[in-house]
Formats: sequence, structure tokens, C-alpha cells
Amino acid sequence: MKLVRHSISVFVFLLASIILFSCHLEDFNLNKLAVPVDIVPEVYAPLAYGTFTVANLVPLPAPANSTLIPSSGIELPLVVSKSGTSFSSAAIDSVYLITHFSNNTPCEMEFELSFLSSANGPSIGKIFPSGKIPANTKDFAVVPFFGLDRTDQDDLQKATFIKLDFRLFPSATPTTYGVVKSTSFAFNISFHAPVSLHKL
Amino acid sequence: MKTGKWLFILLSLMIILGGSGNLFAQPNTLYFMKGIPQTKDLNPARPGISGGFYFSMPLFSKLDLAANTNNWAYNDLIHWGGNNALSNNPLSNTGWSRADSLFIDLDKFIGSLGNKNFVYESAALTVLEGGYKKGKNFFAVSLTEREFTEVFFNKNLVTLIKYGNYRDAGKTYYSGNLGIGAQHYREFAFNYARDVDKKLTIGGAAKILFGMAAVQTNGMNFKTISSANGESLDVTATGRVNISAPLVFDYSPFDEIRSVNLIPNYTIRDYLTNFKNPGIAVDLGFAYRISKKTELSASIIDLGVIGWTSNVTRLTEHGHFLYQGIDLNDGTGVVISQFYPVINQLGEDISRAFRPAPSQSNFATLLPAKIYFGIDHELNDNVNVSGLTRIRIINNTVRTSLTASANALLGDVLSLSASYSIMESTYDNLGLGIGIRAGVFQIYTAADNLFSPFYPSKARNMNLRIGINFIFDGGGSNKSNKSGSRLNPNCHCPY
Repeated sequence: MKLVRHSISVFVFLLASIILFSCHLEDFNLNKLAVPVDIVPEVYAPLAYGTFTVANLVPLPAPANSTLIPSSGIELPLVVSKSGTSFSSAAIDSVYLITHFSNNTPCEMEFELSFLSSANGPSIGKIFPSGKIPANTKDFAVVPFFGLDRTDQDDLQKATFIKLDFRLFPSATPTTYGVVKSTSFAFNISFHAPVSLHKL
Repeated sequence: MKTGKWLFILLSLMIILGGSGNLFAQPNTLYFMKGIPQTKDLNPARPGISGGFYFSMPLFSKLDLAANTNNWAYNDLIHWGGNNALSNNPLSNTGWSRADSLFIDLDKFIGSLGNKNFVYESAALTVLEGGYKKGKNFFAVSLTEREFTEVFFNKNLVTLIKYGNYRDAGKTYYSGNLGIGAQHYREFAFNYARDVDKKLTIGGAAKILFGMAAVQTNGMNFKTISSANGESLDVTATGRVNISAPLVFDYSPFDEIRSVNLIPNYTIRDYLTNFKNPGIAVDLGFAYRISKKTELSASIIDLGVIGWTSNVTRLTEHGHFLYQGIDLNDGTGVVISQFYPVINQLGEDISRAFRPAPSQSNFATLLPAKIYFGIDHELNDNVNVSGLTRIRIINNTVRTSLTASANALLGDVLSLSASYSIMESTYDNLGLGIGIRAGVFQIYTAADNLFSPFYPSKARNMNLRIGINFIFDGGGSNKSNKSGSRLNPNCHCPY
């Protein structure tokens, strides 16, 4: 009987000891987790869109209807204040802006994206040009994508205005402002960006 | 206030550790261990005593701990670096010594996952148990506190975290069902078994249940349709969450949840004496001796339901939002002058599109039923070999495990069971059961995977049962007991 009792004690002690001292718990020591955690999903989402007639954006005073579109083009600026907002994140080192453009005007178009220190001030950092967009084109993909690296994002952060500077150019035949003023163009800008989750 | 904190911690643990509960599986190895009254927990027709009475250690009659996944392990997600990790890791050129660091390896994790995945944990503590067998009849009662949790998720969710949604541009993404469930309840069980004749024993258990707290999700998923040209992201989210817990939800005028707090002045006593969530369950089983040495048995365990009526909250989500980004027109053709009000409004629109609708609705939860089929063959007076199948339904998927065991009796005081199981497509489950008896005192333990407790990070199946009994049947002292032990064909007791 005594032997049995001792056996039980030894058994219980051994079981407890084995579990307590043989359990490998070091794998759960998350203090040893390598930093940065290299999980970098690539996020994709729409950013902005709009449909505009030429007359919406042409600077005042508007040209006369009979005015020919000059070979240097007509500027159609779109300037929006970014006060109170931030388009930058420490988790994003690079952003790619993808633009799809529908040009319903009879003219060639192009546009530039830039960041301004004030509504009429100089641009900060790089200017991103679209290249020529043919007349009467649907869903034209602007390539290459506008790639904003860390420096560009810092410039964006410093800016107080974002400018999209559209420009109309005459096509093969001379075109008057009266012909194009009611025509429209549309675009949507989306982005994709690798997001470092550990920096969020 | 301390009570409130305790409650909060308890509920948080339930939520963090998992969900609706399909686990609390006692080790299969226990099923064929002999001389242990608690074999009735797996088949009520197999009470482990042939005569006399027993009671278990008050407050610690038996403890069940279990956790399992569908064949993935913590180590698949987080593991130590090494040469392979260095060569495969895009950050390896940073020159860090990754071999002495842990890192999150989503590639390996995704590779180890099935389409539908889960992780379960459970714990059950029986605080009071006793029973007796007289003649052909066996009676037992027990009081057990049980909790179990489950988290389930689709592989698609992990791939979204790993890769993001850019690769789904122009496609439709389904998250698959994801959810969580947790329950804590009290079980009063009344067992009865009867030896119908020399071959057949039938048994059953009626269980009265009282739910303490529960979280149950139903059909939670989301879908995104992204256009190839990036002009829109069409997001739909649906799902329902049922909660029964001493919580107060504070809503905004738009029914957005602003905060969640414990019910003021709600004490631990209020929690533990909550009998407003009743439930019932039954266990049914039989054991049939097809020959002198071979027995077939089957059982269904925990066929039951709990109705939740106290402190209930239902959150129902049917959200949809077509996100197109910032509209640079103000709706009248005029170009916006600044982003801030537009972004602010957009944020509010999105938030309100996905606010779950709250209501106070009673709900019911099913217990995780399990079905066992067993065959036991006696090789000689000391050794039996057995086979067991356990079937569970988890997240609408049938999960089957197979266990083969050899059960030996060394002397009249030591019972040993060694088992091998195939569980959730894992093949490394070597189990062990040990029961030691000294006079009326008995301690026993069983586990289906002997090595899991030592390497929990690599474990896919872990369970452990330990219990202490005091058995008064005249056995356990190298003397033949009054019921004849092994000579009694209906006795599952080795002592």
C-alpha cells in the first residue's frame, strides 16, 4: 500500500515536472519577433474621379467662340486645396497612380499632376505628365503610371494645393473654342501601393 | 469593479481564444480505458465500474483541456528563421541574423491552410461528480463548468492580408465565411445505464444546462468587386453577431456603436448565478458484446441546445457601398475647391453603410455533438485492442478522427492505454492513458497526442484529461472485487 502511494506521488510529480520543464514555450516569445514584419500587401483603390466640360475649367474670361485653339493649347487648370487632409502614410513608401481617361473632345489632350505651395504658387517637387491623349478616346490608360516615391510623398505632404493641369491641343484640322466648349472629358485616378503593415 | 474587470477578462479571453464551440473533445484514448467511471462521458453505456459507488474529488473531479486546428500549427505562421528563411525572405539582404529571430511566415501559413479553417480551444472542469452501480443499473450525477471557443476563417482572408487586393483588380473577391463563437455554460448531468442482458448495455445522460455568456457569429463575410480600370470598388458585407453577456452597447443617433461597457454594478455573483439561459442536452449510447471477447459500441454525445435570453444583443450587417473615390465635382458641375469636406463626408457615408443594425433578440446555440463508434477486442486477460471513430460537425464540415489503441492492465492497480490517432489529416498523434489506483483512490490521465504539450507551437491537436476518483467497489487491492471485474462481461473495470 505504501509502495502504491509512493508510486502515485512519483507519477504525479513526474507528470507535472515533465510538462512544466519540457514544454517549449520559447516559440511564443514574441519579443523575439523580427522587425520589420515583412507583410506588405498591395492595396488598390479608387482615389478621385470627375467629368468636366471644357467650359467648366477654362480660365475666365473665356475665349470667344470663334477663337481657334492655338497650337500651344488651351490650359484647363483644376486646383483643389488639400488643407486638413493628408495623402501620405509612413506605411507607404511608394504609390502608383493609375489614370484612365475618356476624351470626348475633338482635340488631343494631355494633363500634368503637380503639387503647389499655394493656389497660384510654384509647384513643389516633380510634375507628372500624362503624355498625349488622342481625341475621342474612351478609357485611355495613362502609362507609365505616376510613381510617387518617398520624396514625392513628402512634397505632396508639404503642398497645400493639388493641381491637375489639362490642356487641349488642336487636332489635324483647325478647331474653334465654340466647337469644344461644350464637349467633355472624364477621368478616374486609382492607386496601388505596397503597405508595410508594421508601419501602420 | 474588480469583478467587472474579471468578467471583462473572461469574456475577452473567450472571444480571443475562439468562437462557437465544437471542440471540448475528450481524448479518444479515454474511451477504452477500463476501470474509469468517466468513460461514461464518451459513451453513457460504458460506466467504468461494475458495482459499488464512487465520487470524484470535490472541486477537481476532472479537468478537460483541448485545442486543435484543421492541420495547421502556430509554427506554420510564426517560426524561427534559418537558412531557408533567409534565402526565401525578401528582407534577407538586410543582413539580420534571422536564425535567432521569430518571424511571421505568411507563405508557409497559407500553404498549410485548407480553404475553410478553424482553431478551437475548450476547457471543462467538473466540480462535483458521483455515481453508483447496483445490479444492472448505474446512476451518476455531475456538475461541470464548460467553456469553448472557436475561430473560423477562409484561406482567402489570409491571402488578402498577404497580397492585398491589387492582384484582384478586375475580379470579384470573396472573403469566405469568417467568424467567432464562444460559450460558457454550466452542466448538470444525470446518467443512467442498464445492463439489458449479458450482451447489451444501454445508457443515456440528461443534461440541464445554464448558459453564462455566449458570442455567436453567423454568415459573416464580405465581397469586393473591383473594376479593371480602377473606377470603383463595390463592397458588400453581411453577417450577424449574437451576444449574450453583461454588456451595455452605447449607440450614436445613427446606430453606430460608440462604446461597449459592462453593465454597471454587475458582479461575479450575478454572472455565476445567472439561470436565465436554460438549455438541455442528451447523451445516448450502447455497448453490445458480439462475442465473448469482442464488443461493439456507439454513442452520440452532447445533442442539445441552449436558449439565450438574458442580456442579449444582435448585430445584423447588410452593408453595401460603391466606392469610387473623391468626386471632384460637387454634383452641380462645379469643381470642388477643397478635399477635406468631401473626404469627411465620404468617410461618414462608408461608416454608415456598414453600421450593423442592433436589436435585442433571443437566440439559440447548438452544442457540438459528437458521434462515436467503437470496437474492442480482448486479446487475453491483460490486453485489449480497440478501434474508435469520432465524428464531429465543425463549421458545416464533417470532421472524422480514427483511433486505434491497445489497453493493458498491469497488476490490478495500473491501467495503461497506448493509442494512435488520425485527426484532421494529422498522422502524428501518439496518445497515452494512465490510471493508477490505490485502494479507493484513483488518479487517471489521458491524451491523444503525447508530444503536443511539449511542443505546443507545432501542435495541431492537443487534449488532456485528468481526474481523481474515490471508488468504493471493493477493488484495487489485488483482491477480486465484489462484481467479479473481468469475469463480468459487462464490466469495463480492470480492477
